[in-house]
Amino acid sequence: MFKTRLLSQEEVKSLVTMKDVLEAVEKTFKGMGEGTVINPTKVGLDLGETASYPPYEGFMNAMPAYVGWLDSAGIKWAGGFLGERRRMDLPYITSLILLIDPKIGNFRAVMDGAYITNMRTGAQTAIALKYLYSKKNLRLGLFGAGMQGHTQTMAISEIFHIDEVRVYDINPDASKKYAEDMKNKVQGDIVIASSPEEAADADVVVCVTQSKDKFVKDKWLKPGTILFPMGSYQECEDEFILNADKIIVDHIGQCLHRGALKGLSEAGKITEKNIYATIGEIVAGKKLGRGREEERILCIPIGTGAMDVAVATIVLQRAEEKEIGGFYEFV
Amino acid sequence: MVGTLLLSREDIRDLISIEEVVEVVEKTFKDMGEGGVINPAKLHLDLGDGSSGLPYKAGMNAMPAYIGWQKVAGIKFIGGWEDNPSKGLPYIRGMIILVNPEDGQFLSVMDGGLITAMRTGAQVAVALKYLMIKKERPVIALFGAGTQGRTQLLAISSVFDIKEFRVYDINKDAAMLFLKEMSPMTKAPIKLFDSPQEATDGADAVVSVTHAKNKFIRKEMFKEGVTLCPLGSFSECADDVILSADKIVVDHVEQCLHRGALKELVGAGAITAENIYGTLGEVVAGKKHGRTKNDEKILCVTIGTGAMDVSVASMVYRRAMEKGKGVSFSF
Repeated sequence: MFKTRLLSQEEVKSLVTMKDVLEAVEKTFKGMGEGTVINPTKVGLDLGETASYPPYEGFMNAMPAYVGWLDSAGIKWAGGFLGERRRMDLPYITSLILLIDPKIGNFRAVMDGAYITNMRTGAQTAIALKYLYSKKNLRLGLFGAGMQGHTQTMAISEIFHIDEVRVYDINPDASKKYAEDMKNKVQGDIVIASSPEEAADADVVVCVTQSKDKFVKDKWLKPGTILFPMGSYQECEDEFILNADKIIVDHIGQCLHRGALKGLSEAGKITEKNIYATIGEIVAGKKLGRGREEERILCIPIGTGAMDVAVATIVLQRAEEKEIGGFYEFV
Repeated sequence: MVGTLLLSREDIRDLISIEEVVEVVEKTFKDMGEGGVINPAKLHLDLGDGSSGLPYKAGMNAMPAYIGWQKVAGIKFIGGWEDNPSKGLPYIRGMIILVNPEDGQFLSVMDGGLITAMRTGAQVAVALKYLMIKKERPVIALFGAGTQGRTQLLAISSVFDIKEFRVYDINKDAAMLFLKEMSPMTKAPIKLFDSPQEATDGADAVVSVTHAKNKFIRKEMFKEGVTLCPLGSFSECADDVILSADKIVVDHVEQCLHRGALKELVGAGAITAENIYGTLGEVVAGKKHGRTKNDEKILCVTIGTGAMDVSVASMVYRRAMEKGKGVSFSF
């Protein structure tokens, strides 16, 4: 008999701060760069996100990983659903994380994965920026004022002084809510942009939308801009991808098959050779980050199971220390 | 939040019989043949069983699937730890998660070990129902008297009135224990054999569930009219055994080309997708004939799909809800 610890979203939330998540994400990127993380390309289950069958307007991704610095393994199973789930007013993301002891295979924990997903996705951007953007102050352009927009901002504001956020969302109410929620996190002003072009005028532009249009124009992005297109579909024009001085990703296999690079990769216009480096290589000091101030950089941390497993392991360690959570004997 | 039902191995044992597992597996094969099932190739996390360099002699597979006839999605996360049995721990460690594809809510998290063993037996029982030469009083030979061997016997004997169930194991004590433990559980007469060759003389079907890497199944053991089911992950069959098959039937083409019995010959270019006669799903759905000639030698490789696990788990979940079994937890 073995007791598996169960942790709800509320419990997960009470156990880690954004600071903790940033630290775990940075160490895990370093591990990836040094080769101590095992992270196969995630496998998707298309439940109607792009396929015509079945009809659920959703998907689930299986993201197993082993994280060396924590000697922990596990999987995140996470998805997004736009159909019934949206009508029920539930969050887009649904997720569970399972952790195992890699020595003998005991299931150590089952926990909510949605909160960790949102937090680590923000942290991935912030840690990438830490190595790509050398100044303390920055102006942030944000497309998408939802949950991910919030956690992106929270993570970046932990490391940088945000002089201004220009936020754009096709739903103006979402932008207003974001401005209200984030006013104490953002050091400078939050401006609700009246056009996408206005929001693209920034040092760092982050896209966290479900847009299927390539709405960010190449000409909007000035020299020195770092663009993070984090959506499942391509959010920026082909020209920007093809003209960027550097393309940096978190996971090469994954980034060529999902998100911003998928279309150009399938068309044969972007291959592994066009990827300058992984974030892990830069954090580990194996590759230089930004060379010249005026470089335009495309950075895509599409998200790896390794980050989820790492953060979940920290959560579990805290839960053990503080004796939080339930137990169940599956075997 | 809606609760997720947690189910232990003991609960599962009480909730479903091998006959029911065979029935569910057959329906799911039919659905696969008709295109109602989505089942991407399983994703492997190497914890030392491959080239990762980790010291654990283990690996996990992520096996997501959607089952059309049940309108449910799920994933099994399962692995084997080679050193566990010597520590008194189970070789297989696994968990299954079910999700409602309508709204993305997690229906259940349950042990995956027992369901794996039962469905693996059931896959072969269904395969033999469509491929074996003799359906009345068949003689079955089994190689490998472990856990998997036990569920093979239970599943096959639930479908057929077995004339003789022959068992060979490299470890004689394991075979003796099998005879002792299994005789009270089946009306099939179990007979132990000292050599695999003898066990196959006059057998209608040969089922192999071993960890062998030494290609011990030789051509003279695969006679005319025999259905051979090698289920091991490694190398049980000599090359000419595979090449001499009149028909190769698999459960999942892509998966079977990259794992198990066919892997090596596929790597050498001697077997390609074109050498696969059809999937078991196509045969069960009536899209392809099963056995058409009495002297045909049929090789059937059912490596195992997440679809079988998810569909059996879904049946278990429904029963548990009806009977009020398990514990609910709100993640």
